[in-house]
Amino acid sequence: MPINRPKDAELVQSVIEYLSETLKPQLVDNKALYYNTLVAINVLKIVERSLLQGDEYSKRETELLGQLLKTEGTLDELNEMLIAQIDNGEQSLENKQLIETLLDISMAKVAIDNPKYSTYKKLSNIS
Amino acid sequence: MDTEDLQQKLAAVLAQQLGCTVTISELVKLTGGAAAQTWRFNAAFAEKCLPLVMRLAHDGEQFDGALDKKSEALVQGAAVESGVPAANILAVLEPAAGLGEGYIMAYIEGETIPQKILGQSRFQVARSNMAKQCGEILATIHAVPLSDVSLLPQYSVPQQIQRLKNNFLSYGEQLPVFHYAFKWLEERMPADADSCLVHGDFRHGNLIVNEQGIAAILDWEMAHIGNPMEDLGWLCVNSWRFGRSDLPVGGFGIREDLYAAYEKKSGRAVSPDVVTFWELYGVLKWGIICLYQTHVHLIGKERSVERAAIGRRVSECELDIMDLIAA
Repeated sequence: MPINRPKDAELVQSVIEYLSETLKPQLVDNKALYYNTLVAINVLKIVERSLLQGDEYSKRETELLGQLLKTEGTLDELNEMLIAQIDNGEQSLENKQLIETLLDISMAKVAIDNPKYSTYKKLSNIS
Repeated sequence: MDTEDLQQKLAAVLAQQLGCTVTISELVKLTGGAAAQTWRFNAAFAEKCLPLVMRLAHDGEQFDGALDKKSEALVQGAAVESGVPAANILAVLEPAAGLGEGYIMAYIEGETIPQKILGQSRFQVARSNMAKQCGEILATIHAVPLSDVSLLPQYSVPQQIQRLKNNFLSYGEQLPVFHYAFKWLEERMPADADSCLVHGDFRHGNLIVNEQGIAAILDWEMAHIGNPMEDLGWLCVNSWRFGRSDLPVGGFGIREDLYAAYEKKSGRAVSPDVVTFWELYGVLKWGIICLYQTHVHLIGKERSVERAAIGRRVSECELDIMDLIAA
């Protein structure tokens, strides 16, 4: 039996709503508390996106690294292998597949961490 | 330390420095950054009333290479002597004053928040001048006689990269993009250039701006002796464009204006490839500063939601590195 509703992302969403709509307006006169509340809301939005997209992200990272390294493994193992190959020169920095893989993974990470980031918007053609 | 206590100690320090009775009023905290906190106040003495700023060291540890406040004051003072727009230093705090490590300087009116400087129409004229001004100010900083700042550490480019790499590796985070970036830098190290005073944190956010343009340069704690192009690259790092990716110089200007003004004033040619090298170094360094900030939280040295959140900005740097590489 699954864990009862609300789902994790729904719980987080409720706290985001509370902080944004109830708490934040009370804090306009206290710069530090107001600012830290904005940061807290932002953190919860990362958690929310991570809950919704995290599995998909890990699957994609595993897939992309597996294709690049022509092997299978856990994310830890694949990343460790890639790092070793970059450090010891086995991976040429000019390798287009390497560059595209790292770019794709970075885009997918920022999609969770901060999809409003300028470079993310530029590269996904969002204005 | 409460405000009243702070006020009394400040009055005592300034009385000693100026040789007369000083009354402190309107003491307010301006910022409580990760590396320092600044307080603004008025000092009344001998029928004068001066607006001043006190910059105090943060209690915790600092990012690798950051200067103590006494050295920072000395560098800032030397820069002012050479004609760099920065606040005049009035006093360096001695331990006996009981205020901690810090210094007192003139207050300079203006805005420092990049979003306001980039967004408000009253800064329109300022924005159009700032890239050129940055070039001229950087040329002035890079011309500060090294004998005036002989206390500063000097690093060759390979040493600087190795130090940053050691710092990165100490956090134990698996980031292939950062390894890629180090390798890329190691393969493209610029030939030895003239050694100069490098500000080390010359970026949007550390500029005091009024309606005409830049009034002063802040935050001298990352100053060192090194390759002058490091400052030009750091100024163009995407994180300091605050959303205006299309304007590479701090989100307010174009490279051509920065380079032309710098070349004219310094007589030193700017190689765009060398600036790109330092821009990538800068993105990487900002990413490692984010790792450091979040590490201070993770190991329990200083817990805060802000420090936790900054760890998730590392991916922005990964993306900017790959964007620069793929370009």
